[in-house]
Amino acid sequence: MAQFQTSRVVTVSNRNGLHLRAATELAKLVRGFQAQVVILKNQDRANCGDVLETSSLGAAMNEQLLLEASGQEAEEALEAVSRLFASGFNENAQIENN
Amino acid sequence: MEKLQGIAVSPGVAIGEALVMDTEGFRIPRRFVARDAVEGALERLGVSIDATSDEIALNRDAVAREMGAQCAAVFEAQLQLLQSPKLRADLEEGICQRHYSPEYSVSRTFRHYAELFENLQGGSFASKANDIHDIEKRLLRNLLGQRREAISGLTSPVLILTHNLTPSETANLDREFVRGFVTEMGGPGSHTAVVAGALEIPAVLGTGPFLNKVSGGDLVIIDGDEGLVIIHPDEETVARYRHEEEEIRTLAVRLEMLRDLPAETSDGVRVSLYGNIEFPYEVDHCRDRGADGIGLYRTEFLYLGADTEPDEEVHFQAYSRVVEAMGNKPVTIRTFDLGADKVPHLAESEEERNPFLGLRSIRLALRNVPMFRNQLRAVLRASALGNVRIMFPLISTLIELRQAKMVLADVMEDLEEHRIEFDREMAVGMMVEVPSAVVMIDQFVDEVDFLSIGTNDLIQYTLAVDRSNKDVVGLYNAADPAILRLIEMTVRAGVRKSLSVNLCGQMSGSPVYTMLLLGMGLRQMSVRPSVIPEIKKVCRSVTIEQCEEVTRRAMTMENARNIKSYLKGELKKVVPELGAVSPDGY
Repeated sequence: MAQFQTSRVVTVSNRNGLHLRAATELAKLVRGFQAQVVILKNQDRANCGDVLETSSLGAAMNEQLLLEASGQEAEEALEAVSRLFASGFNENAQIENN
Repeated sequence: MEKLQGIAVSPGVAIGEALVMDTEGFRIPRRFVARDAVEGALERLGVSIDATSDEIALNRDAVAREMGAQCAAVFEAQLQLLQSPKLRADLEEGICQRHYSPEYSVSRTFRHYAELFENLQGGSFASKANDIHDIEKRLLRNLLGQRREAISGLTSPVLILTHNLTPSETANLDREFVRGFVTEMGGPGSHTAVVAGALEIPAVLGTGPFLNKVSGGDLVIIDGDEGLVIIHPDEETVARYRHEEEEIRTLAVRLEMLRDLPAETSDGVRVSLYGNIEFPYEVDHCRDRGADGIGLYRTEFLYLGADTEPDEEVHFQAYSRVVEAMGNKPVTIRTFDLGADKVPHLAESEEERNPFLGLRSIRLALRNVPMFRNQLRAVLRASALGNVRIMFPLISTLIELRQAKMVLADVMEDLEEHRIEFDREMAVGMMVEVPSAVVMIDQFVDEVDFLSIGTNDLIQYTLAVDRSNKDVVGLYNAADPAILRLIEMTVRAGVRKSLSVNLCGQMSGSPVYTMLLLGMGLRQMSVRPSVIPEIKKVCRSVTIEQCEEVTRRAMTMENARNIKSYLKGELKKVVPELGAVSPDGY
């Protein structure tokens, strides 16, 4: 496994947590970068590009997660992902997701 | 191992592979694939995932066009989930490493994630389990393609686990391969329950939701005596049930030797043991067990499962088959006994607040005389072929009985006019199942040829208890002293007039009550065919004097529990092997 180049801690700020819809946003975002981003929650690892892995972490509001990124655009990807977490996955802009 | 408690509706034990059907009656099979078929299985999986992805994408685009991108987000999420590399890896691992069929691998993997999501903290994850189910369903549909034919085309024994079965689905179950069934819905009074008994396979209804915990091919035990379903049983449990199965079988073999012997007490009093049936084919079950006739032929099935009212010919075909098969032995046909809600074509299905106290059975028949006449004509025509007796259900007043008899007399006249043959001496009887009929029994006995006590309804109406309501079902007890007094009153009134008195409720099918009923003077019992040998065994093991003593003692006791445990003890004394295995249930 390639050594990660950069890491950062983010906090889940949206009420619904890192559920399937949020995971979908996240996957779409990460795919736009030449980078691998992994989320670590306790012992669990999830690849940001895989919604099943990320949404089954069960990351709830106010939980802290460690992000690790590698690849050509690792820094940029990490920055974008952090912003998405901070924005609460645009949840407030969305209609209430069942 | 997981145990589920449901409602026992048909006794016996079945151990075997599960066939799981989802809410859409959609079958989820287990099939292992052979080592050399793994490649093909992987390819089939890939093709199905692609096809399912296309479907979801189409949906997403259509919804996006019509309702906007926000609404389409849920489909976008499903699509992402389906294309998850992790999911693909899990699915393929099942196929490659464990040689699961693609269908089974899908069903197992999705169940795993559905459970995982349900167990995650916070409500929003649990609701996502629905997305998982949705994708699973689509994927399976693509995998199974044409083969999603539900329960037909079985080739090996299975236990069916499903959300619900309609009575007609139940009736059409493949009797060669279906060894038992469990439904999440339903209760003891339901027609599905009656049909299950007719099929003579163990069945448990009303377990509540559990299908997400089991996959096709899993080992399951259905304990139809206790109403238990055991999923993934451990070895010890399987061994215990196999042993029980074996014991039941040995007992059945021993009892079978009684087949051609009469049901006669050891002091030489002959008892008539009749069979209760629902379908014409059950006549064979009755003959195999040496029944003395049919004590209750329920005719409801002719009305259920059909979109239109059955015509006279449909009735006649069914009745004549039974009557001819029984030769000169009596066949007691009970007329229409359904509620308005079960017969949509009558258009009387107004919302009833208390259906059990409402427009049903003979009341409904008397309101729909043309329909009633069709049935009566068919019964009368069948009476020319053998020994037919007719019986009116749910009679609560003398007027009702007279009205029913008037319609019958009218139909007879009609047949005579058209020179159609029938038995002019056909016996006419009534069900005694409403307390008012027992109170007035001394008057009823002057107007009928026979009585048949229906304990199921009699208990319900006497103790004012709905036995599908689990909070009050404890009151529903055949051994309640009030019930025993009503039965005794009825039997004595009949005996005084030398009328034939039969008891056709579930009570007569439990060997626990046989001595008590004989002691009251009852000489006819009608039971589901499978228990005829057991009841015969009890009859042949006792004297009437002994039974009368048991009855005398039982009638002095003041509660159902004492009475029942006393009766069990007495049964154990005379037929120890029945005391041991006979179902505790009723």
